[in-house]
Amino acid sequence: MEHTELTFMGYWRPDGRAGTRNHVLLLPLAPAVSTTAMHVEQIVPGTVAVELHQDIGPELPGWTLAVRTLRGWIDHPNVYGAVLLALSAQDPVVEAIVEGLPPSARWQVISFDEAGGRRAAETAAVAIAREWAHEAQNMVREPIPVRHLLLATECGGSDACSGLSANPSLGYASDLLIQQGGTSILAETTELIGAEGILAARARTPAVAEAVWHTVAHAEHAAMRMGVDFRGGQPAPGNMAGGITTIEEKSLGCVHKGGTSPVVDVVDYAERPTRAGLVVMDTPGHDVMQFVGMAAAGAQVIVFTTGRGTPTGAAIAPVIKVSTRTDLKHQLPDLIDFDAGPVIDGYLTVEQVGEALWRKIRLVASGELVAAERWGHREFGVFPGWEAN
Amino acid sequence: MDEAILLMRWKDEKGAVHLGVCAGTGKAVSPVDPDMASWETVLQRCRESGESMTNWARRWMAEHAAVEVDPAQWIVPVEVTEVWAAGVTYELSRDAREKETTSAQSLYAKVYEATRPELFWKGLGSQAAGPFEPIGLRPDATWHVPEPELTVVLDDQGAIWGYTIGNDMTARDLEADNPLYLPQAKLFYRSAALGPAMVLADTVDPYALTITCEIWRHEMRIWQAEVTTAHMRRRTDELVAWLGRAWPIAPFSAVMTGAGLVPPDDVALEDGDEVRIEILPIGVLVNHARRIEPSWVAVVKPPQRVVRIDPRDTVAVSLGSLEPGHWINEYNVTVRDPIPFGHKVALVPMAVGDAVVKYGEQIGVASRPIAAGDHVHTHNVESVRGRGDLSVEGSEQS
Repeated sequence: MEHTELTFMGYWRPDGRAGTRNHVLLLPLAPAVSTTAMHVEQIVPGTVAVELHQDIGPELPGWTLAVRTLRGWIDHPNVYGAVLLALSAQDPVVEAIVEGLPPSARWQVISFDEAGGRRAAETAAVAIAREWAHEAQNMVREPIPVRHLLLATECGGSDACSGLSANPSLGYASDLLIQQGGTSILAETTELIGAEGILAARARTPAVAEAVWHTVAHAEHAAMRMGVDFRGGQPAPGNMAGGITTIEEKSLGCVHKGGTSPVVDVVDYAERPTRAGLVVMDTPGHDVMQFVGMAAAGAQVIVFTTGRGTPTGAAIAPVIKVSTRTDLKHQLPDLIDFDAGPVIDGYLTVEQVGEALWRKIRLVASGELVAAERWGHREFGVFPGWEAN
Repeated sequence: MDEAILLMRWKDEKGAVHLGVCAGTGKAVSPVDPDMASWETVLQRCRESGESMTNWARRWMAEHAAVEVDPAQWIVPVEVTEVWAAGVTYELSRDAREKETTSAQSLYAKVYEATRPELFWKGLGSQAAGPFEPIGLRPDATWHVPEPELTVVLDDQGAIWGYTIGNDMTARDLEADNPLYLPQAKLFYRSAALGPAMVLADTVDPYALTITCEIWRHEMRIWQAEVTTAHMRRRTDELVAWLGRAWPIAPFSAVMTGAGLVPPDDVALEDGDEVRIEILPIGVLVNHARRIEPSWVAVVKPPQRVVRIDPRDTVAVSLGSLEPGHWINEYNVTVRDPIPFGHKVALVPMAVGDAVVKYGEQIGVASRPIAAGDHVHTHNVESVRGRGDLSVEGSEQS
């Protein structure tokens, strides 16, 4: 098929990627400095902060994933600059994270020990954040081909309509992006159980097919080793009341959000895809850990389909909430950004809604704020790995 | 040209409609005597006394005190009977339309050059939105745009009486899909908006007006553009005359004269968006877009839908509540059990161990015999993956 090259209005980055936002990020590298990050955010307009609730360290489970996730947030195309707050500059966590950052990333560590206390650290962080926020505001958006977009897809609170309206519409939009040379991430390994066959059959190579089987089996086995058989609770009682009978059925509804494109690669949690196209990422089902991991991989826009609604959002990337039914949109008008319900009502086809969602994705990429951004939602949490979960 | 004279109407807290005249946007309004209940009465009295309405209005304003009116109380300035509209009267709208049309590319170019204009109906005046009233978005279309247009208002004898601001709402995706869908792209509930005032025709030059249109979303302006009516290719009286060739023009009809402004391809109105159209000296027409709900149009409820997602599926999903005995025509199946919203109904008989197929894939196997029309759920289907006695590897091979 012939396609004219579509663009969105974004920010070019020195490493050739493009941002849909231009944030100054205040990132705590230890739970103890989270409050300081929040205070700096309140002082300097135009900055965003997250709170870190988990301890991270080389001796703790999930160390590799935590380092990769935090690095991915610092070196994110939507981030103009990252102010890293730490207790000590000599902390192995700080050293491990900044060591792997490319020269193109803009970051500065503000440590309590070097600054000379809590007040001095806050003052130093405010100064650099002010300077960067001012510089960021002076950047202008430029037309950027949509192939530079990395779209994250996610579903939460699935209902009987998820597999009929919101997920296939998102899949259609994802396919349109991929036809333009862009990349989409399909995640949530636990909800691929029973649908691996479909994805493996669409794999680009036998090795990718093998990786799909392996990733799902790994998550399944790891959970069972921990004595947690999530298949016992899947589908959840609410899913069953809504008409979903088996885990396979639930997964098949979920996997539709990846569209029909070939699977070009399987990546680990928070790992940046190296190939354009549909990429499977190994993530847990947890809503926040899922989008934090996909954002860490460089996703500049996240689409979250829901049959239940949730206000959650990522600090650095817009999360577009798509309702499966129009009732939900009416029930939560200020949380839902896009309604796929007309498919259920029989007014529109999946293709029509998918096309409209694709337009919405481009508008949000160009700067239109989503509900989660307007409300200032910025949930954060790092996946510690299947073994530690 | 003399000072513009505006006719307005407003509805007070008790629902009573008032008439008034003023000498330009934002000016205080001189209320017209309640015994002249409608502009039709005023017009007839002027005609009887041989005075032009403009002279009458000037005299009235000089002799009567003016009051401030809350803009939120404005309604369509004249009781409009029928709303008509013209298309492709500006160079720009011809270009925009050509982009959206997938077939018959030359249709718009032809009508722009042709002697015969494009004219279409936009519904009854009573179905149009007044100032600050919601404008409609079709539930079965995704790409609505406002088309801001200078709008002619005709008097009781079909002569051009004045001009107001019109919004010719369009579902561009329907029009792009097939030109034969134009009537649906153009005509739906609240697909026209009119107001807030009417300027008397002899107090304004219709070909020297600036039309500005803005779309606001969540306090942010997402689009803004302006055009001058000097770029209009057709004359307003030409459009009216053409309409009257073969149509008994109703007294107090409105004719929109075509759009010189069309938003770019990536702009589509969403529920809640605010559209602001300014034409001075008439004023600013403000409306909010709202998806048309069944209660607005009181449509017959659509039939219960049952969806087979993939042709290979052995079950279909009910998008309503099905009762036993319900006949599903398209699949030739009689429902045997109550099927709640979102639940599955068997389309074919399945024996124990047969695959249950949805989305074109196996979602489990029948654990009990299933007849066509049965409710298909946990009582008669089991997961292959959920079985403790089957290894994960074993199921992968199957």
